[in-house]
Amino acid sequence: MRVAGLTNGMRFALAAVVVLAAAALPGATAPASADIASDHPAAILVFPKLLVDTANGLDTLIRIGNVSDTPLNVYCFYTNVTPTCTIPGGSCFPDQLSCSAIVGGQTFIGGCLPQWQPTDFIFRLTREQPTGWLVSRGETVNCRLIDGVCANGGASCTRDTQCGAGNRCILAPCLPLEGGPLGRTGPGGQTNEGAIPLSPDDPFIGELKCIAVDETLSPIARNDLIGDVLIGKLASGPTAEIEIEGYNAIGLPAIPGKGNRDDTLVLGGPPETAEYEGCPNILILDHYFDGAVDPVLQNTCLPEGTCSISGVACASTAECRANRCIANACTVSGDACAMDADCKNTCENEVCSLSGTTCFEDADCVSSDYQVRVATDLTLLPCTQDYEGRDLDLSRTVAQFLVFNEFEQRFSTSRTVDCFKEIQLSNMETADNSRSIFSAGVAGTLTGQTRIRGVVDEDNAGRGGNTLIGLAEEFRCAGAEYEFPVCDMVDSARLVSSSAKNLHFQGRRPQSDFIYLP
Amino acid sequence: MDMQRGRIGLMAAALVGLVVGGAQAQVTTEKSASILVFPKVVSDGTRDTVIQITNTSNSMVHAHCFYVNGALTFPELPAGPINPPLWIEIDFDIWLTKQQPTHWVVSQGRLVNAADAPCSNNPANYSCNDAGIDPGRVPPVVEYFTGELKCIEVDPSGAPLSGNHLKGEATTTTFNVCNPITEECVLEPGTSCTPGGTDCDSSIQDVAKYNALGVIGNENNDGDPVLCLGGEPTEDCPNGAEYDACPQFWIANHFAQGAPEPAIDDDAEVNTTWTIVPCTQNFETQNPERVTIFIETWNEFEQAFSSFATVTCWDELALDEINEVTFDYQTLGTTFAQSRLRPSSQTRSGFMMVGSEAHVYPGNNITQTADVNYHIEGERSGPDLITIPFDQVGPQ
Repeated sequence: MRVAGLTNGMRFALAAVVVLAAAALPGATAPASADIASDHPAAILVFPKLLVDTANGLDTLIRIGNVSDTPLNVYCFYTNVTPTCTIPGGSCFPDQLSCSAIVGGQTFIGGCLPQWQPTDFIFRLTREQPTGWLVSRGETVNCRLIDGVCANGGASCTRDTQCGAGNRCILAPCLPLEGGPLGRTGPGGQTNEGAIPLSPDDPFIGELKCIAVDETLSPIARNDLIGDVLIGKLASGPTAEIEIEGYNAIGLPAIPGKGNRDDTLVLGGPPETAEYEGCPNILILDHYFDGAVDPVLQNTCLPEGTCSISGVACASTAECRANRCIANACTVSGDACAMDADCKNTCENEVCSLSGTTCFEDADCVSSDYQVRVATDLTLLPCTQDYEGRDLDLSRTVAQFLVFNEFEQRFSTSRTVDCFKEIQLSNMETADNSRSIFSAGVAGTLTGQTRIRGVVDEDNAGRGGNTLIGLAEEFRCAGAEYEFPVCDMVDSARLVSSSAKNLHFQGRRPQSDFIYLP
Repeated sequence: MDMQRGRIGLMAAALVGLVVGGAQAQVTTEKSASILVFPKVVSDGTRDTVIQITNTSNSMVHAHCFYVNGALTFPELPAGPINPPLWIEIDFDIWLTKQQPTHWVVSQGRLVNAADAPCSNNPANYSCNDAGIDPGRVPPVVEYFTGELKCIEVDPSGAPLSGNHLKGEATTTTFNVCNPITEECVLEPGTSCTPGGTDCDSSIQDVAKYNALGVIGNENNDGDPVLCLGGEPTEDCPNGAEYDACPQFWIANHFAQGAPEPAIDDDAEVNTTWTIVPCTQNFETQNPERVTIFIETWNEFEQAFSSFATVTCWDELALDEINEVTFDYQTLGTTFAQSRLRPSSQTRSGFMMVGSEAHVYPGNNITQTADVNYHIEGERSGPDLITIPFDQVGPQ
């Protein structure tokens, strides 16, 4: 635009006014965006998946930290979603098959009922303080007088040096600054208070949510909490294999100056009512399609004459991939055998000899060669949760999935999330993993992108926004090609390795989600 | 007159910069971005890495990528003035159709071959590494590569673009082979071995995964070869911040070195490693950037300890390499620690980092690893500059 009759100084003044006016436009001077994220401190932390099965060496370690220089009270909820077995004494962990009873020599399979049982607790973190606890043990104060136990024997102890060189004294799980006449206090006299209970069940599967609160337990807009999780497993037996996976807690930042500090936390939605940033409109998951062969973990014959993954003696890589008969057992499938031919999956009387599937000729039977294939578990949680009224209808959300393969081809499916959903991707829409749109055999490519959207339920208007948050775990399972990979941290017989990761987020939605506190 | 006009322009740009800068976010691991940084990409015979990158938009996206090899000139020898990092960069382009995911194994790269067989159930074929629309010709890395991958969204002409359409992940697989440098089994620390021998249990594998660090682009990207991450308008950055700034603080919750790790067993231990790359990089002059990092570590008793680390170009540092005392369990006295890392005030560059926690079970010395994306707080005031060779920006 050319404006006649203006001096340079006037032009500058005009330019500055125009720029400042632009700056005054709505949104132009919006404060720094602080979306929900797992890599920024926040006022609410969500740990979507915790696992405990101490009998099988499985446990979860929570790490949480206060990143500010003032103490912070934390109000947390364990939510127990371990299904309950209808047969007394039975268990639905890891699956419904373990919910059974033998009566008169006959096995009866019971039903598994979902549960959603919150347990709350409160503790205080001092300034800049990190701490952590095992979900199976919890953490408390007033335990200074409880002796520890030497890791190598069981003798009581109070410090490592009492257990000999290289050994440790395992102390009772205790918050670090327990205060009191015998306990420790921080340099400023700060102490931890409260207690963290152990998991309400063992085995246990559930969620943890922690909220920053003040001394009166009212929610407070302090974005000072960070957290992460390690799920570890130590397998019993001579191999004593270990497995570990970790993820960051998902943080929901408070919007400064917006909280009314009541028992209803408003997540996102209209700016005039939102107290915390909203949950994402869409979750994005990059994943391997279930059943895809891992491109790196190939069972090859090493120069020293052993297979690189299975460890079987070999003379060539072909021998590492083949299901061979060694010492009367097939090297891959584990079936009894007398010769290599017994380890081939061939068609006999219209049934494949190893896989048991129907066939008309040998070509119908999938090979029994060794492969390491990938399976992904997805955990989804609704953002709206009612800890007060326990109205699960508020949380129930239909999740819509759009799946893209590397050919730009799109598939879709949907699934209802009641209050917690943990499921292998290829079981999302079918019990037959190999026929799922999430399986490599259907999708056609190694990797894909899945976009997950919670569908707005008009019945929830003003009470829930039907957004979701989640977590993905990737498992690499070894086995014969005809076996679909279904291993995980619980069912780890075929597990080669595991990893967990946070999902990506996109967009916000106009509806609010709510957390209703007791 | 020209000077006057220039001053007016610069002041107006400064104000625009302030306006745009006000809406800045920070480096992200969970949102689509215009620059993806994979700080830890390794293919050295003991480890290999799979890169996954996805276009989250409904239009085609182009990206210009750089592999930066931060391996030492003589990897088997300690770092020093006569053994600097290689800082050798190679670049390539990828393009992704709408919503397209892609991947490649860094040791293999990805060739363009429309005849790659897809996975299928009938006939059974689940080994389909190259199936899909090839994103371009991705070169394999050299035999010994320890470094980073950086991908910058560009327009079809090659000019940097603030589209914010890219997301990514890196999966590192570790093989239990004999490390020829330490002569120890990689996943059985303390187990000595002969390179090429049969001492290591090859059935042990380890897979870990992290999200790429994303730098979000702003609307005022001028598309020139100098990418301005944060900061006010300067001669190099007349529009101010074209991308969000690098973080001022990284916050790492971690185990003390040698502390008991109860998630596996009370006797287990954790060794934490940080992989760090500077934010400022000049691919034109190839001058390796040096960052001095101040680290303040808090134990569970509210006691603080401090240490420093210096990183040139790229480094993977175990905590006890940074400081044997500060991070040690006996010194810290608690299992858990929180470290806050920031560039020292004399350093002109910020930095990016990911962590790796190796959990060792002493019963059999087996190691399993979990990669960690750390937390971020604040943003640097000064700009960090990524300079692309000018002839790589624009039509080829």
